[in-house]
Amino acid sequence: MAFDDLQSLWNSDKSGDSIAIPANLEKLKSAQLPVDKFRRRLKKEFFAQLAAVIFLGFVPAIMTFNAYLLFAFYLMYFNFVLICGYFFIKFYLFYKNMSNTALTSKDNLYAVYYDIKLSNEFYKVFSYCLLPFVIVFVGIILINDKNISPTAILNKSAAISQSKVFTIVGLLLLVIVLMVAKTEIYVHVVYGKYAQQIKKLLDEFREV
Amino acid sequence: MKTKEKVFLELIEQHKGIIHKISRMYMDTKDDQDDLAQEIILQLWKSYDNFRQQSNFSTWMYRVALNTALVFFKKDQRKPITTDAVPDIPADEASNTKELQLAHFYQAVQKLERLEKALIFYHLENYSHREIGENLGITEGNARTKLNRAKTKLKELIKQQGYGF
Repeated sequence: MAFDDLQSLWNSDKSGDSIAIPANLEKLKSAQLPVDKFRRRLKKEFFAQLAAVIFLGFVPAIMTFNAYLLFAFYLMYFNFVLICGYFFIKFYLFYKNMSNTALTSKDNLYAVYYDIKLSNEFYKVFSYCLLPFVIVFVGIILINDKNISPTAILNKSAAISQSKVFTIVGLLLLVIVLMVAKTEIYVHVVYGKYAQQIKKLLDEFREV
Repeated sequence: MKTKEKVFLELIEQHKGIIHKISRMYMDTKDDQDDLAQEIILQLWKSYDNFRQQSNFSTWMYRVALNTALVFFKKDQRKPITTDAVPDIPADEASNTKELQLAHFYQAVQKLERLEKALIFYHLENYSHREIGENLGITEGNARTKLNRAKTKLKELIKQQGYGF
């Protein structure tokens, strides 16, 4: 079979005539494109984060905080909400931003790669921005739970046993490790594989 | 149904053979091919507002369809098929021979890289090197070199299947 034969074979291929075109486009759902997958994950992530932010606001009421810890807690909470709000808007804008698939293939791949990388970095920055807040929140909750007076801590007159110190520091370290691991694993699983595949594809376009 | 959607579906109906060919070049199982065809139609619909009527619909469609196929990845849970079975068809029947030849072609194409598939597709659709370069975003010279390599590779792959050029 010569390549010209292949050409005529290709032209005569009518097997596509049998494929069914959907009668209604509303039934079509995106399945496999990386950017669409990210958008869906982003949407889920947004609702999960929103629920977490709202729940956090009720923690002092649920745990009956001492009056002197309430102010510190809600001061931090206010900043926390501001930062979350900023990132929620950024994620929303990314979610709404549509890639133009009518670009040249190379430009389209760069756009997809850029979207993946940007989304990846946004997620990391968002997670690490929240880390200090989470540490302070956990600290406040523990201090409240262990009934330690902040005034006593400031006056260095608090009688905190070594085991309490170890418990608090240990729990804070655990929170840090879990948050970092969650962020890195999530980014690797969700974005890493696709970023590698798109990068490999872009390498194929290089001049020879 | 809205007029725009109706016009779009009529255009897709006219060009569905191309969607089928691209899906068959990029995916090796029927399920994956159907998924890709659906994804291509969806992406075409999403981009339809960007389509300028003065340009050729099929030209615009090739680009969007191939861009979709290039970044379309199989569902993880599906096992990749490593040996595409070429149907056992008696060679003396002309139409069946064509089927067999096409099956050999698509089987060999599965082993090409994604960009090589796009180059072969444009070549079989009679695009010049310059047009291939313009659509893929590479230079004419690069398109020529890469296409020649892809054609040589494809010939070798078909030969390996015992179906020589």
